[in-house]
Amino acid sequence: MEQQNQFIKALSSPETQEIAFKKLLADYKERLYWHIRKIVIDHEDADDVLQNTFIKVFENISKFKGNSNIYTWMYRIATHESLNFLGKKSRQLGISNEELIEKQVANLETDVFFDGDEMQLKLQKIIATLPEKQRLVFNMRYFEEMKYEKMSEILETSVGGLKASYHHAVKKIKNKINE
Amino acid sequence: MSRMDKKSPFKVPDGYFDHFDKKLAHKIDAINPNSGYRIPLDYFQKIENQILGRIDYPKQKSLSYWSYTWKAMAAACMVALFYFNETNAVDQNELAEFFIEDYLTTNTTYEIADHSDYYFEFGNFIENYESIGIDDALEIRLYGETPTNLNLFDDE
Repeated sequence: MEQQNQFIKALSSPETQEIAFKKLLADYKERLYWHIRKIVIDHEDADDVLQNTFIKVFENISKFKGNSNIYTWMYRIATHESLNFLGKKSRQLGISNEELIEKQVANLETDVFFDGDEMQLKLQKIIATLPEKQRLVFNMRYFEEMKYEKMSEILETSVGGLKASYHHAVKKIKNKINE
Repeated sequence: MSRMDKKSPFKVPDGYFDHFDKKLAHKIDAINPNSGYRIPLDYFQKIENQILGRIDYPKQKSLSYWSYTWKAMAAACMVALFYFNETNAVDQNELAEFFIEDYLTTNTTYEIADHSDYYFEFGNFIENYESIGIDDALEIRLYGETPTNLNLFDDE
């Protein structure tokens, strides 16, 4: 925690913030990218959201209290940014969030940045049909193998609630795969 | 027991440990949950520059040697000017008082009455003093002479 406090200090100080921010970017860009990509699906969209996430992190570093891990805090920003992005995009297209996700997943078949096999594509299509919360929890647990405690901090939901969401998501996915 | 060869009877294929890392990496890649999604070549290198290009760092206040020197010189000049002005102001006031006193003691009441009010105005004494320069004015003070008898005010 002391090390983190030192790092936060370095990020806030004009003399050291450039170097500290570069380190932050180098350390977390990939992990955050994959988290964002699972939510927004399209690479170009993930790219936009990732950039906005880091800009937000930079602009708000002085507001970070240091009560949680900086990674958790950044994850929370990335999640909010991703969901906000989807909300804006669906409003622009005049469709619901669920319809947008299904559309994005349907585009994966021709996406040059997706080369998953038939089974992976099917899994993505099924995930797209899940309610937002279950989709988030499933991605974080199944793909990112994140602990419920950490997930609880990011999504600000109880561990019990998250376990229930994951359980429901897995059940739905299994049923649809066997259909 | 002591006569038994401690050498392990188990063998591994040639170069097994050399290729293990690659094999493991390949296996991990095969089960990598991210597989399916791809990114453009060098994306993570490029995105770093893109993000850094959008960051507007606040300007740092650096005190370089030259800026420090210039600041110190400017401060010294300010102090010197202030001191010089203050000194002059004291001199000017003292000299103005001297001129008035001297004028009053060396001129008769009739002569004083002949002069215009102009001469008694404080500002005009200063103006006269300034027009003759500080060295002359100090001489006047030192040698008990007046601007009049030094013929410094020719126009009068």
